Amino acid sequence: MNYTAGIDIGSVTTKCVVTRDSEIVAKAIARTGVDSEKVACAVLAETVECAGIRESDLAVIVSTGYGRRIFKRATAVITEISAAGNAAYHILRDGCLVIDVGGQDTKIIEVNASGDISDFLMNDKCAAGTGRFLEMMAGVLETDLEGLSQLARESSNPVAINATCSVFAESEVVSLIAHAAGKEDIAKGIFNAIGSRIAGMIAQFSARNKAVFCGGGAKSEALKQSIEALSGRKITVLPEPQFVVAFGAALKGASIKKEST
Amino acid sequence: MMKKQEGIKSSHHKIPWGSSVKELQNGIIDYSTVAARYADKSALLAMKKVYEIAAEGPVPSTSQPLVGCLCNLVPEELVRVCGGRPLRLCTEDGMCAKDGDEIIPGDVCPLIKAICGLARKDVFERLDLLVIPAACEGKSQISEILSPACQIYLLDLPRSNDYLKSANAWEKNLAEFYRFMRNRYNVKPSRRELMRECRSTNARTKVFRELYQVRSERPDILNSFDYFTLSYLSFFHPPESWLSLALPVLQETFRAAENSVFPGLRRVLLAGAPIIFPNYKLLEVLENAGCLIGADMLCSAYGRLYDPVEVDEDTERGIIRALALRYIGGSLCPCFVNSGKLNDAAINLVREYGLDGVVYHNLRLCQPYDIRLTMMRQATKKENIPFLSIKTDFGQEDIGQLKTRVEAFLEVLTAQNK
Amino acid sequence: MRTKRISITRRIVQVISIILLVYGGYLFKTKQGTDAQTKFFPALSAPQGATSTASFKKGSILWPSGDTPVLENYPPGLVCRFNPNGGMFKACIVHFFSENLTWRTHIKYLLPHITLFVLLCFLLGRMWCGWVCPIGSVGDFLTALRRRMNLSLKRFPNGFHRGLRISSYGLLGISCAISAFIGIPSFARYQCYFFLPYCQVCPARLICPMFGFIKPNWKDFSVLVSSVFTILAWVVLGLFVAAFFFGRRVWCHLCPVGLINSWFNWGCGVELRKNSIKCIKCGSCADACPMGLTRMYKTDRNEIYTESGCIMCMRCVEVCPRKGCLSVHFFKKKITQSHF
Repeated sequence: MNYTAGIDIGSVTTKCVVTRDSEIVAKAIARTGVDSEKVACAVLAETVECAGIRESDLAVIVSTGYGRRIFKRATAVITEISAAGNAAYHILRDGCLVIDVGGQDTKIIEVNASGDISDFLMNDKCAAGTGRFLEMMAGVLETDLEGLSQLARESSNPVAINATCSVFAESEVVSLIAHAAGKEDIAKGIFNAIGSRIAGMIAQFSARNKAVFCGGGAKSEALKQSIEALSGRKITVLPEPQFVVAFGAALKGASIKKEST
Repeated sequence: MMKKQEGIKSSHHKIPWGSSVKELQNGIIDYSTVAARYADKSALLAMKKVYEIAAEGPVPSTSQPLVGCLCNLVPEELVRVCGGRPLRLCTEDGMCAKDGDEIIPGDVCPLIKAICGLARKDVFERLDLLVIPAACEGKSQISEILSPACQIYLLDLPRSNDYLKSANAWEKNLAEFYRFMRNRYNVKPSRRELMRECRSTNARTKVFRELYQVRSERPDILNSFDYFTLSYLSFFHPPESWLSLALPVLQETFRAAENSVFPGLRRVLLAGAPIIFPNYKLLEVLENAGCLIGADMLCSAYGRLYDPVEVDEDTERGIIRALALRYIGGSLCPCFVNSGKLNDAAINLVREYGLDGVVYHNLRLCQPYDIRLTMMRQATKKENIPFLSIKTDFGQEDIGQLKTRVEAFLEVLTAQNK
Repeated sequence: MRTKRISITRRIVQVISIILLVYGGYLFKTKQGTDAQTKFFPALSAPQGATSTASFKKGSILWPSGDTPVLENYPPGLVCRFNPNGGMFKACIVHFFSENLTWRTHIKYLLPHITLFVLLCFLLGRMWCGWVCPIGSVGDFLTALRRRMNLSLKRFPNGFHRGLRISSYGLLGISCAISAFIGIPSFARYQCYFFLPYCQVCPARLICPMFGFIKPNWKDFSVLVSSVFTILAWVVLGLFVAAFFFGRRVWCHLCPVGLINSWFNWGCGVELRKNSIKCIKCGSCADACPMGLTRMYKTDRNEIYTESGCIMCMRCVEVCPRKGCLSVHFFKKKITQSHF
């Protein structure tokens, strides 16, 4: 029975992944809401059912994320940082720089050649540089993240957004709209603004490692392009970017199981 | 004494140290509760007395004139020898910070706000004099805001902390301060009395260094709450009484250390902005995560108590100069231009005590420590020392985020140690 | 303050040195006033045909008071030279150079002394100045007196010390030039006035006899040259003493003996090393240095920081508040280090 589960209880969404022999067999996602324990149990149940097994077949359950200590059924607990690093190393089999853009925070994690986390940087206080910024801006342009990315793709002359704070950036965008700047150019400018924040964080790490992208933000091609252009580094999006952290937790479970046998 | 303006002092806020409903509502508990909480966590019986004193609040009742000081830059020997009771006013009381926000709203370091907020607790009324060294911007500027509340002496300091450039200025400024104190309190202390105060400080230094050493070896016995509370007591207790409280703690720690072995937990260096009672939020997060503090570089403990006064020239000016070199010259405060000193000290401490990494604590909106943060990050990276930066203030709302960072850092340290 | 181990040892060595320099010659004398060779140092006897001091005018300030030319004889009072009955062994190197430049002594008589001198300097550098020199000890006593009197130190800027050192080169140079000049046979008649030109103005000439309870020869106004030297000697002594009420070891920057010793500070056996990462840059070391040196403070490398001005008093090591930051080594082996 080599099934392990990893559950990432984030502040916005809860993700769960079940693996067998370190391969993903099932995954599920739900909004966390107010009762994170209940949602976590539900998501776990859904994933387990999707995998075609019972919960008792799981050897180890590892929880991670903001609500990791609330989930009582977890066998072990690790931070999202380690989880993301685990998953990235498993996929790449080499040292790398993991860029995790989530809804509420952004993390840059440096993994060394042996698979250990050697350094990390978190931005969780300021909205600029996180998915929240994109959500706010998408709202101003009366669209959503998908729509924002679409708009940005069609831009040829992005505007520069000067404000560093997302609240001020919002007013700047509103005034740009009022001055009849093109929506596409504003959208691209928004991605450049967030991209430059993230590029600034990336610049604190050495350039020798391969850069990989995960988290909700990684679903946006426009964001990836902005970060690549502004940081001057080639970025690879990991498969199933939003589930990478949960996957990493499940992999930790697998290694715990291996150690105990 | 100057007439006080109403804007600074607000009579309906006459709250003794910790029994405010507002404090409880904000999740900040009063001093007795805080002290009792950490006294429970302590493994040492001798710390009970220390926590009891900490619970009484930082303003001692004394017949001597209370001379408030900020930072460690004012040699307290000069105050003591004139018969004053020095009181380091730097506080990290969240309630005071909120009060201080009413006095100086805006993007200002919370420590500065908390100092201003002391006005609401009528602390400045009880001071005979407040000595403010022109250290960081915040501290230099509040001298004007606080002047209606209290007699202020601004101790001017050159920007550069280089002995070669600034030692004469330090000597001159301190001599002027000393003259001011002598005139104010109408005393003529002899050199012998000054030397006695210096020796008293040195006796305290000796004991503190032993505490520092035993703490680095057994941070499980002398935990960070005990250590910082003991250091905190030196803010308002002269060396003799501090010694009478610290020696039993030291002896008990030695005894306990003999009978047990250190469980191999991770030990880190705590650097950056000061941590002062009752703001032990970060300490709790670290201790609960199993990341013990093996050494620290904070001005609230190490910077205040670790170094002795070395008098070479025992003329009066010579003693004053020696005090200047110890308190100002040797200061690690980032408000001075002293490139590289902070990094060297951090790397030296990590190597000397065999620590696993550096946790750099900063207060939000503190520019000097922020800039030093980048420099230290680069310096530690070069030496392959794991580095974690924590930027926070006195509120409790970011505990979850702190826990994530500290736990992730611990995972880094554990992996490195394998 | 805390235990000053090095300073206490240094004081003891200073006192012993004065006693040995002043009275130690008695250990080696054969018979006072005779021409018998010393039985311990036959190789150090004066060469044949050396100009006898008997040709000097009586009453020259080079002689302590009295008729007998005591200069060539035993101590007490003559720390400048140790010369039982005409041997060549001198304590003061400047006296040695001066005298032999004038007398054009053959090199084989000079080698033992020079070798011994160079060997001691190679081992100990300028430790003579800090640990042995009698007028240095007098100076340290005057410093203690000044502190007792609560007279504050006037710190001189660096340029002042550099100026003194350059003057010191001048002093040594002129002194050697004069000594060599009067050794030329056609100018030998000036020897009675210009012999040992530096020694005539050296403050030790007037201070050290007092250790032996001998009255120094204060004045000689018989001829112009002697008068000039007399006045110069007073001025130098006055400045020497006065400087100790404003500074510490000011004279040592000017002293030609110190100058010669200082050439050996680089590469000598006694090494003062700094472990820079422990340094908190408080400046106590530079502050305590009686020679006003600052390299131990300025340097950020782990290196030997002895400069040419360093008299090896090791006050810097004593006052440093951080354990292991400054240390004293003898040929790479650590002897002691800063501690608290």
